[in-house]
Amino acid sequence: MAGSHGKPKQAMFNTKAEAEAAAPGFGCKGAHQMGEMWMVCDKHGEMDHKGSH
Amino acid sequence: MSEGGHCGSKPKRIAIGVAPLGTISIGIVPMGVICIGIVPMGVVSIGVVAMGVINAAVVGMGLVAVGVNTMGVITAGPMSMGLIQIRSTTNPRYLAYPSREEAEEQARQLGCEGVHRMGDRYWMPCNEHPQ
Repeated sequence: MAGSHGKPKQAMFNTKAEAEAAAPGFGCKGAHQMGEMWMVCDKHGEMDHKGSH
Repeated sequence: MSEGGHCGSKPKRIAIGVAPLGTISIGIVPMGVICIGIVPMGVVSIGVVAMGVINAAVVGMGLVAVGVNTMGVITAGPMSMGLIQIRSTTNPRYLAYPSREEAEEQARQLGCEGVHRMGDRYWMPCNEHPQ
């Protein structure tokens, strides 16, 4: 999908339920916790680093 | 306007002014049980940068906080921090972009390096997720 343009989407939410509900819009399922917040998808997508991690 | 209200002064029942301290305080930087003002602190506070048990404020801190950048046990507002949060997360760090180029541009603006994928369709700025 690289190269396409559109509006950015919120990927981090306050609750697991919100993140799970938004996950299909990202082409994934579930949610994972990041600190005190929740992100869409069961796990992180492929990391594409341009530098040291 | 209330006099005093500084640290160590005895709280008044009703305090109005700059940095008043009381059970009910209205003003700038009020501290009390019920606060309405800018940077209020108290049990109930309404204002900007409120701190207290109940806040309706911008940058409020308390058990119940409603506003922008609120912090508390129950918070409502953008960028709020608390056990229970009702807010919109508008931080650009929380956004995913449909193209890698957009995410890279956002990463530059945020001052971080790289991008990472979020799901199959989106990219997020920075090598790492925000903590």
